[in-house]
Amino acid sequence: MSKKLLIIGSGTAGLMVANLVARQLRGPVAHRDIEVTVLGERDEYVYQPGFLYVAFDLWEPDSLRRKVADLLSPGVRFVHDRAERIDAAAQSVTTRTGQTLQYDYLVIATGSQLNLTEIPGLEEGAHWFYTLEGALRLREALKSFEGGRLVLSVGIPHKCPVAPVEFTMMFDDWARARGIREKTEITYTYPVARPHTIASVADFADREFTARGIEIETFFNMDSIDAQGKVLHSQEGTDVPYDLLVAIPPHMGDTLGAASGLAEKGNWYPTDRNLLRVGAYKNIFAVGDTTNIPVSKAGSVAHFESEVLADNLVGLLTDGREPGHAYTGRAFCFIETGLEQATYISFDFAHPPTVPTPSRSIHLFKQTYNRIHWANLKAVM
Amino acid sequence: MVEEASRTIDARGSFCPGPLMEMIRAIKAAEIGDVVAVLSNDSGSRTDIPKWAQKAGQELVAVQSGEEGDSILVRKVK
Amino acid sequence: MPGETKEYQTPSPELSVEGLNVVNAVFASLTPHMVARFGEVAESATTALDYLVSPELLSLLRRTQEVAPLLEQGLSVLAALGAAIDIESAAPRVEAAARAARKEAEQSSRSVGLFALRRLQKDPGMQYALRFLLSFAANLRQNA
Repeated sequence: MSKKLLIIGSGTAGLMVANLVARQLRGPVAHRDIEVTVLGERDEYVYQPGFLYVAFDLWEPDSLRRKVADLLSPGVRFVHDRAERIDAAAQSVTTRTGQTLQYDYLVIATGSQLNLTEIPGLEEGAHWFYTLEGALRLREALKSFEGGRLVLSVGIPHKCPVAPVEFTMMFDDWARARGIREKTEITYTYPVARPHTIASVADFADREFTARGIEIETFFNMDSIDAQGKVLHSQEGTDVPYDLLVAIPPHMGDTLGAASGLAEKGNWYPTDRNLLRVGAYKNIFAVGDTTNIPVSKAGSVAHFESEVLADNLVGLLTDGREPGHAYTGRAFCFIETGLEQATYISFDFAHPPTVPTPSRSIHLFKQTYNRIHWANLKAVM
Repeated sequence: MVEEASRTIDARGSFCPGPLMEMIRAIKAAEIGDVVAVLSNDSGSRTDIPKWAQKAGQELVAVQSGEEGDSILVRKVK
Repeated sequence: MPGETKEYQTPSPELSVEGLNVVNAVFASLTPHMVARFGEVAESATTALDYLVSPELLSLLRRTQEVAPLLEQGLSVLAALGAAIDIESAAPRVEAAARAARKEAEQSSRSVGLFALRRLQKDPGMQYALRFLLSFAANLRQNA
């Protein structure tokens, strides 16, 4: 009897787990003793960190997209369909087209997505760069921006927690390069008492924003947007007028979790922060953005988690070995601090990050990493 | 007098800004006059939530310490 | 310019700090699997290097150089065979070609070449490789 590993999701976490397992178990996968299947709604992978560059017209969208089939290791089966329901008792997943896929081990890697309906007026009045379409629309808006009030408003939770800080500083740099900074006001709003949830990043943003003349509004939770009058209202009673509004809409998990009775508030899966098991299930795991683990929803987290999970799955699939590798909360995020400078943060559950002085070298490293990512995704590096 | 909460949210085990965001979301969904209680064992909540309530013009009802964490109560007044 | 003295500067402290930042960033960004893969690549690269500089390889290269004309001849025979390729009968024909080549070699005085060719013919790996080459050539022809 072959052992079946089913992975739901064809994003960063899903592809990494599939490829890491398949590469370590080449023989058994080739002989079909172990079947690795990726069930994904999308057959195209998009490199989301590139959206920032697309918005500033620095990258072409085509450079961010690749076919999922081209990214999978040999022997991994790809089923292009949407998972509709997980039946944990029957160890099966049913799909939109009515297929039923059996599993011995299930990995949920369904990511996070924008909740565009929670804030009235958002779709009509705001821009965002968290989807490729949104980034392209923002690119056009930036092309015709000749000065005025740029407001960047953050809702949480959201993926890639440093991206709003990056966008704000890149915009500042971009406006200076275009010679319109003097007739541009920049306001950054954040829901809690400081401009970022991570203390050192908040201090860094405080210093940098102040030095660059960027206004900070804290305790600002988007309530509604008056798209006609171009005013953003907060739940705390603050009104901010804008000419161009870039919002980070709060995120939510995929509805699959709720439909299957496995996810909690926000559609996030209750996940063990070390072994990545879902609830009390011994054979269901969650990885990447879709967990409720108190760690950044970011590609880097998905990468570190995927390696731990893949190693544990290899043990389970080959000789039923109990998972022994633990995720420790490791993450590494670059922070672009302009168009030509960057810094980074590195942290885990026990060690909060510090923010080194930004430099051009780190920016160049980030640009290099943008390419290395594809090798990481294919698990060849 | 012990205030009765209209809604209690157990945010224990979640960390900054989890409990505060739970409070913000619950107040948004509540009716005027409702009291929302958030249970938290993140020490930051004791200061974060009252600060937010002040900024948002909502009424801080109580901050109660218990063995299993703090209970912070806020009444929606507008 | 003649007589000009050059001043050599030590790297500025800022540069050293920046260099350290990059090194730290590189280390922080590496995952355990990436480190393991680098290790594997380093191992195979050094093994290959070690093999490349070995005296055995050097003598093999010298011998290959000596039998080069014979190899060329053998290859032209293969190319002729490729014209009427039949994968099933390819292996015996390779052997026939090799026999013919050996005969020629025996008539010549190049004993080193003969030795090499005998080894080539007996080596199952080489036979497999030749079969693969023939079927590959046939595929190329079919798809041309």
